[in-house]
Amino acid sequence: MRDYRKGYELAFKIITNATALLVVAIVFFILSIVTIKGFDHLSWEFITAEPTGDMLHGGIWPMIKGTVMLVMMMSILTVPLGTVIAIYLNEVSRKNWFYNIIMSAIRTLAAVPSIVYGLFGFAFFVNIVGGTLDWMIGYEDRVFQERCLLWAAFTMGALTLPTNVISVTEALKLVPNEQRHAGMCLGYTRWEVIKWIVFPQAISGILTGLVLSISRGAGEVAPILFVGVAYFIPHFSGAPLDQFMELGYHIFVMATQSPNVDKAAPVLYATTFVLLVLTFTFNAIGQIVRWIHRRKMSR
Amino acid sequence: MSDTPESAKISSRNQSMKKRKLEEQVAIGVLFLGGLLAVGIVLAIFSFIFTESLPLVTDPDQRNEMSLYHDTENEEEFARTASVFQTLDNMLGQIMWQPVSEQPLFSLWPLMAGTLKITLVAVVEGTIISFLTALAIAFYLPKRLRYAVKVITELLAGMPTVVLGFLGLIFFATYMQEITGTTFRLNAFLAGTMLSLTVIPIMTTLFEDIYSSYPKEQIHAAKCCGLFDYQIITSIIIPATYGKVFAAGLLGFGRSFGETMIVLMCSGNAAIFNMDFAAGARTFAATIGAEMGEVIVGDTHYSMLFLLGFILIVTTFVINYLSQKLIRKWTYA
Repeated sequence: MRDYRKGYELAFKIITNATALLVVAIVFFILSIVTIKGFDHLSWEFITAEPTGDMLHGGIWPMIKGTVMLVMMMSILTVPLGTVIAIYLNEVSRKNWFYNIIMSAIRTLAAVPSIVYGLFGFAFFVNIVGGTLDWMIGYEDRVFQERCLLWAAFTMGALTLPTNVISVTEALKLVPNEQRHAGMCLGYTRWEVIKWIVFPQAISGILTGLVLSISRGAGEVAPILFVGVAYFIPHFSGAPLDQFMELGYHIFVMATQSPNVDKAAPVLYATTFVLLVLTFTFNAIGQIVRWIHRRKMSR
Repeated sequence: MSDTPESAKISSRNQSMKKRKLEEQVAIGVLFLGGLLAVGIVLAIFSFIFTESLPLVTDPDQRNEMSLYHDTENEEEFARTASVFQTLDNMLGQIMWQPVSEQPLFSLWPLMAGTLKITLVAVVEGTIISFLTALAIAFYLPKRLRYAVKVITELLAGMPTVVLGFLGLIFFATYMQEITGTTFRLNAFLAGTMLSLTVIPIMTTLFEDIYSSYPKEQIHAAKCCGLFDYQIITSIIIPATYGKVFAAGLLGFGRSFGETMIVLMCSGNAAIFNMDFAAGARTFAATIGAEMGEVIVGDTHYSMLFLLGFILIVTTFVINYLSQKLIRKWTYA
């Protein structure tokens, strides 16, 4: 008698493996389209030149510069703050209701759609903080109360802060409790335990958080849509109070509002390629650092 | 015993002790300030989105503008009498979203329908694909390939959404239209499908965690009884984990309903109230993304967009809370 179960088993195997293959194929397909179509238009000049008026010629240097500036300012704001918050929550604070509320609030914030941060950035940073600064300094016309790189960096900082706190917290949790207790037994104060035992071991976790938030920050467009990014500013100076161009936003605007999409497509694919290379490099660095860290800690 | 007098030793020790105590207090104080700042930021974000949308209810001018029974004859008189219910009537009593017109119409229904359409497609496709992929990783793939497939799937998570949106708009839309034969090039189904690519890595990881954390003894015991892998899956793993699968689906929903860029680029952005997947659609998040740029600060439209943001926050919170509860409820420890 033939065992019908073998047939079912084979069917299950084929269906599941085919789905896994499909996912892998989609990833490779997307990467290869972008690489093949983007490579034609890619050149040294494309990366280092400024765009021309119709955006179809010239390069993407201002967008790269804007993206890098944004991401750098964001990390300067968010990484130290995220680290301090994570250390406070994990090492100093008692695990009571207050801690639970903060932790669940941070988890909720990490899941809040990024567009909401854009709303927040516009209402709070641009209008309230910027307006107050203008009023305090006494400017007649708007200086701080404008959409600009500074507020975009603050908005991005708010967006990546929860992710950052969570990844540092995870790194801190990997430090064995016995080591903290041993430190305490030797007469260390709480701060000395943090300074000499916990922090050195958590540095790579902090680095991972940094790198992951950089790759997220370079890829997100929604939160900065109305906080400072602009369609066409070829001579971006790099001043924090100027509007700026950004790779992702450039792709979005060119793809949706360009008068002739067929002509714009090669430029778009090349820009996408550059953006993917940027984000994937940071992501890969983050994964490698995390992997090395895990191995070091588990030994 | 050494030559130094005991008292000097003690005083120097006290000195350093004092210094250490001070350092401790300063450092812990700074860390505490960091914690307070965290609370401040959280409160600021939640309360700001809320208070900016409040004028819809509190400001008589906005109530007046929202009212469908706008009386242009005696504006002053009307402004005082337009009630909250007329604001609500505009939001729920009609089905048009026309923010810039003589009588602005802010119905939530087309946006709800659009959000539902797109996320439904994304979550259903995402759940099926990631469920099967996770099964493949946990049971069927050759051992060497498992890790590789996992890493490649997670590559999708690192892909900027604007790239997926762009590819959907420029590349996939044309082929999708040829395959499905829809009238519109950009439609809810395309947006949902592209959106499912952002859900797949998250849900696959979740499912994979669920299956690989399932007690190995039970699986081994089942194998000893002569069960095939598919029987283990259908009769042991699925009954034991369906609650968690539901929770994972909920998380996928939470991730996809607030996604802006893909929807903005692939959905056609038509605010229409129907459940036709081949037609265009517009979500809450995409509405904010599309309209916030041109809005006047303090306007009715401005408050309305903040209300949409507030709806997004509340929904995220509810979904997160529910899925956490579900995951905790269905633990098999």
